[in-house]
Amino acid sequence: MNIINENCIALLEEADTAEEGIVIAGEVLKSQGYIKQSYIDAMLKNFETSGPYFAIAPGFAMPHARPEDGVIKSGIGLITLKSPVSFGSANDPIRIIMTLATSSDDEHLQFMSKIAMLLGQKQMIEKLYECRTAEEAALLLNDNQEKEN
Amino acid sequence: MKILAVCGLGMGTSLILRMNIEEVLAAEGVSAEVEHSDASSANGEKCDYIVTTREIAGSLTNPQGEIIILDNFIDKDEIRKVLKENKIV
Repeated sequence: MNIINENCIALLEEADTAEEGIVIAGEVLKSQGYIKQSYIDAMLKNFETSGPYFAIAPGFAMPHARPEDGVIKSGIGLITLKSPVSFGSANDPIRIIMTLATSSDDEHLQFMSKIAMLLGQKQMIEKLYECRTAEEAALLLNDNQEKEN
Repeated sequence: MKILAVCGLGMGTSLILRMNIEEVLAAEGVSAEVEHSDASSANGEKCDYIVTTREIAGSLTNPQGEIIILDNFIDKDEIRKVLKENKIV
Protein backbone atom coordinates (compact mmCIF):
# COMPACT_ATOMS: atom_id res chain seq x y z
CA MET A 1 0.00 0.00 0.00
CA ASN A 2 1.33 3.41 -0.96
CA ILE A 3 1.24 5.77 1.96
CA ILE A 4 0.78 8.86 -0.18
CA ASN A 5 -0.76 9.64 -3.55
CA GLU A 6 1.48 11.85 -5.69
CA ASN A 7 -1.53 14.04 -6.51
CA CYS A 8 -1.87 14.92 -2.82
CA ILE A 9 1.52 16.64 -2.75
CA ALA A 10 2.11 20.33 -3.53
CA LEU A 11 5.55 21.87 -3.23
CA LEU A 12 6.71 25.40 -2.42
CA GLU A 13 3.23 26.76 -1.76
CA GLU A 14 2.72 30.30 -0.54
CA ALA A 15 0.99 30.93 2.78
CA ASP A 16 1.21 33.95 5.07
CA THR A 17 -0.29 32.36 8.16
CA ALA A 18 -0.60 28.97 9.84
CA GLU A 19 -4.32 28.93 8.98
CA GLU A 20 -3.61 29.52 5.29
CA GLY A 21 -1.08 26.69 5.37
CA ILE A 22 -3.59 24.31 6.96
CA VAL A 23 -6.19 25.23 4.32
CA ILE A 24 -3.78 24.64 1.41
CA ALA A 25 -2.64 21.34 2.91
CA GLY A 26 -6.30 20.37 3.34
CA GLU A 27 -7.26 21.42 -0.20
CA VAL A 28 -4.85 18.89 -1.74
CA LEU A 29 -6.75 16.10 0.03
CA LYS A 30 -10.14 17.62 -0.72
CA SER A 31 -9.41 18.06 -4.44
CA GLN A 32 -8.57 14.35 -4.70
CA GLY A 33 -11.78 13.30 -2.95
CA TYR A 34 -10.30 12.21 0.39
CA ILE A 35 -12.09 14.71 2.63
CA LYS A 36 -14.99 17.14 2.69
CA GLN A 37 -14.70 20.86 3.39
CA SER A 38 -15.97 20.14 6.91
CA TYR A 39 -12.70 18.32 7.66
CA ILE A 40 -10.66 21.43 6.80
CA ASP A 41 -12.94 23.49 9.02
CA ALA A 42 -12.48 20.97 11.84
CA MET A 43 -8.67 21.12 11.53
CA LEU A 44 -8.82 24.91 11.79
CA LYS A 45 -11.15 24.66 14.79
CA ASN A 46 -8.78 22.20 16.46
CA PHE A 47 -5.90 24.62 15.92
CA GLU A 48 -7.94 27.45 17.39
CA THR A 49 -9.06 25.39 20.40
CA SER A 50 -6.02 23.31 21.25
CA GLY A 51 -3.14 25.32 19.81
CA PRO A 52 -0.18 24.18 17.73
CA TYR A 53 0.56 20.91 19.57
CA PHE A 54 0.50 19.09 16.22
CA ALA A 55 3.73 20.89 15.23
CA ILE A 56 5.64 17.82 16.36
CA ALA A 57 9.15 18.42 15.08
CA PRO A 58 11.27 21.39 14.02
CA GLY A 59 9.70 22.85 10.89
CA PHE A 60 7.02 20.18 10.69
CA ALA A 61 3.28 20.29 11.48
CA MET A 62 0.72 17.51 11.14
CA PRO A 63 -2.79 18.97 11.45
CA HIS A 64 -5.71 16.57 11.60
CA ALA A 65 -9.27 16.17 12.89
CA ARG A 66 -11.50 13.21 13.68
CA PRO A 67 -12.76 10.59 11.19
CA GLU A 68 -16.34 11.78 11.72
CA ASP A 69 -15.37 15.36 10.79
CA GLY A 70 -15.58 14.55 7.08
CA VAL A 71 -13.14 11.85 5.97
CA ILE A 72 -14.26 10.13 2.74
CA LYS A 73 -11.25 7.80 2.51
CA SER A 74 -7.96 7.63 4.39
CA GLY A 75 -5.04 9.58 3.04
CA ILE A 76 -2.30 12.05 3.74
CA GLY A 77 -1.60 15.37 2.07
CA LEU A 78 1.77 17.04 2.00
CA ILE A 79 2.81 20.57 1.22
CA THR A 80 6.06 22.45 1.58
CA LEU A 81 6.05 26.20 2.04
CA LYS A 82 8.18 28.59 0.03
CA SER A 83 8.45 30.86 3.06
CA PRO A 84 8.04 29.22 6.47
CA VAL A 85 5.21 30.45 8.73
CA SER A 86 4.80 30.68 12.49
CA PHE A 87 2.36 28.33 14.24
CA GLY A 88 3.20 29.75 17.68
CA SER A 89 5.07 26.55 18.48
CA ALA A 90 8.49 25.72 19.88
CA ASN A 91 9.05 24.02 16.52
CA ASP A 92 8.55 27.23 14.50
CA PRO A 93 9.01 28.24 11.76
CA ILE A 94 6.98 25.55 9.99
CA ARG A 95 7.91 24.70 6.40
CA ILE A 96 6.28 21.30 5.91
CA ILE A 97 2.61 20.57 6.58
CA MET A 98 1.28 17.03 6.42
CA THR A 99 -2.48 16.71 6.75
CA LEU A 100 -3.73 13.44 8.03
CA ALA A 101 -7.17 11.98 7.35
CA THR A 102 -8.13 8.51 8.48
CA SER A 103 -11.53 6.91 8.21
CA SER A 104 -11.39 4.07 10.73
CA ASP A 105 -9.48 3.14 13.86
CA ASP A 106 -7.76 0.15 12.26
CA GLU A 107 -6.61 2.09 9.25
CA HIS A 108 -5.60 4.92 11.50
CA LEU A 109 -3.28 2.68 13.50
CA GLN A 110 -1.68 1.28 10.34
CA PHE A 111 -1.15 4.73 8.88
CA MET A 112 0.24 6.16 12.07
CA SER A 113 2.77 3.41 12.59
CA LYS A 114 4.02 3.89 9.03
CA ILE A 115 4.19 7.65 9.43
CA ALA A 116 5.96 7.35 12.80
CA MET A 117 8.50 5.01 11.22
CA LEU A 118 9.07 7.31 8.23
CA LEU A 119 9.40 10.48 10.27
CA GLY A 120 11.71 8.73 12.70
CA GLN A 121 14.28 8.26 9.96
CA LYS A 122 17.19 10.65 10.20
CA GLN A 123 16.91 13.78 8.08
CA MET A 124 13.52 12.76 6.64
CA ILE A 125 12.07 16.25 7.11
CA GLU A 126 15.11 17.89 5.48
CA LYS A 127 14.97 15.39 2.62
CA LEU A 128 11.26 16.09 2.06
CA TYR A 129 11.93 19.79 1.96
CA GLU A 130 14.62 19.34 -0.64
CA CYS A 131 12.27 17.52 -3.03
CA ARG A 132 11.59 19.54 -6.17
CA THR A 133 8.78 17.45 -7.67
CA ALA A 134 5.75 15.74 -6.18
CA GLU A 135 6.92 12.50 -7.78
CA GLU A 136 10.23 12.72 -5.94
CA ALA A 137 8.49 13.35 -2.60
CA ALA A 138 6.03 10.50 -3.17
CA LEU A 139 8.88 8.11 -3.98
CA LEU A 140 10.76 9.15 -0.86
CA LEU A 141 7.76 8.31 1.33
CA ASN A 142 6.43 5.24 -0.49
CA ASP A 143 9.80 3.63 -1.22
CA ASN A 144 11.25 3.98 2.23
CA GLN A 145 8.18 2.35 3.60
CA GLU A 146 8.51 -0.65 1.29
CA LYS A 147 12.14 -1.16 2.24
CA GLU A 148 11.25 -1.20 5.90
CA ASN A 149 8.60 -3.84 5.37
CA MET B 1 4.98 2.15 35.63
CA LYS B 2 2.45 3.84 33.41
CA ILE B 3 3.26 6.62 30.94
CA LEU B 4 0.55 8.62 29.23
CA ALA B 5 1.29 10.32 25.87
CA VAL B 6 -1.12 13.22 25.50
CA CYS B 7 -2.20 15.50 22.64
CA GLY B 8 -5.25 17.56 21.71
CA LEU B 9 -7.47 14.94 20.09
CA GLY B 10 -5.78 11.79 21.38
CA MET B 11 -5.49 10.36 17.87
CA GLY B 12 -2.56 11.33 15.72
CA THR B 13 0.12 13.18 17.59
CA SER B 14 -0.11 11.25 20.85
CA LEU B 15 -0.12 7.92 19.01
CA ILE B 16 3.11 8.79 17.19
CA LEU B 17 4.59 9.87 20.52
CA ARG B 18 3.45 6.67 22.19
CA MET B 19 5.03 4.50 19.48
CA ASN B 20 8.30 6.38 19.76
CA ILE B 21 8.36 6.17 23.55
CA GLU B 22 7.68 2.43 23.33
CA GLU B 23 10.54 2.05 20.88
CA VAL B 24 12.98 3.94 23.12
CA LEU B 25 11.88 1.97 26.20
CA ALA B 26 12.30 -1.33 24.34
CA ALA B 27 15.76 -0.31 23.13
CA GLU B 28 16.72 0.55 26.69
CA GLY B 29 15.24 -2.66 28.05
CA VAL B 30 12.70 -0.89 30.26
CA SER B 31 9.19 -2.24 30.51
CA ALA B 32 6.34 0.18 31.08
CA GLU B 33 2.74 0.55 30.11
CA VAL B 34 2.39 3.35 27.55
CA GLU B 35 -0.99 4.72 26.56
CA HIS B 36 -2.15 7.70 24.54
CA SER B 37 -5.06 10.03 25.10
CA ASP B 38 -6.50 13.47 24.51
CA ALA B 39 -6.01 16.26 27.01
CA SER B 40 -9.44 16.12 28.62
CA SER B 41 -9.33 12.32 29.19
CA ALA B 42 -5.84 12.72 30.64
CA ASN B 43 -7.27 14.75 33.50
CA GLY B 44 -7.76 12.42 36.42
CA GLU B 45 -6.30 9.42 34.57
CA LYS B 46 -4.03 7.45 36.91
CA CYS B 47 -0.46 7.31 35.65
CA ASP B 48 3.12 7.91 36.75
CA TYR B 49 4.15 10.26 33.96
CA ILE B 50 2.45 12.41 31.35
CA VAL B 51 4.49 13.25 28.26
CA THR B 52 3.09 16.10 26.21
CA THR B 53 3.74 19.46 24.57
CA ARG B 54 4.15 22.74 26.39
CA GLU B 55 0.73 24.00 25.22
CA ILE B 56 -1.17 20.90 26.30
CA ALA B 57 0.68 20.73 29.63
CA GLY B 58 -0.61 24.19 30.45
CA SER B 59 -4.19 23.13 29.77
CA LEU B 60 -4.22 20.04 32.04
CA THR B 61 -6.33 20.78 35.11
CA ASN B 62 -5.99 17.52 37.02
CA PRO B 63 -2.84 15.63 35.98
CA GLN B 64 -2.19 12.51 38.06
CA GLY B 65 1.39 11.95 36.99
CA GLU B 66 4.56 13.95 36.75
CA ILE B 67 4.49 16.09 33.59
CA ILE B 68 7.33 15.78 31.09
CA ILE B 69 7.40 18.43 28.36
CA LEU B 70 8.67 17.50 24.94
CA ASP B 71 9.01 19.72 21.85
CA ASN B 72 10.03 17.13 19.28
CA PHE B 73 7.82 14.01 19.15
CA ILE B 74 9.74 12.18 16.45
CA ASP B 75 13.36 12.56 17.48
CA LYS B 76 14.12 9.44 19.49
CA ASP B 77 17.37 10.93 20.81
CA GLU B 78 15.41 13.76 22.36
CA ILE B 79 12.82 11.35 23.76
CA ARG B 80 15.61 9.23 25.25
CA LYS B 81 17.14 12.36 26.77
CA VAL B 82 13.97 13.45 28.58
CA LEU B 83 13.26 9.89 29.74
CA LYS B 84 16.82 9.77 31.12
CA GLU B 85 16.43 13.14 32.83
CA ASN B 86 13.37 11.77 34.58
CA LYS B 87 15.18 8.53 35.46
CA ILE B 88 12.69 6.42 33.51
CA VAL B 89 15.48 4.77 31.48
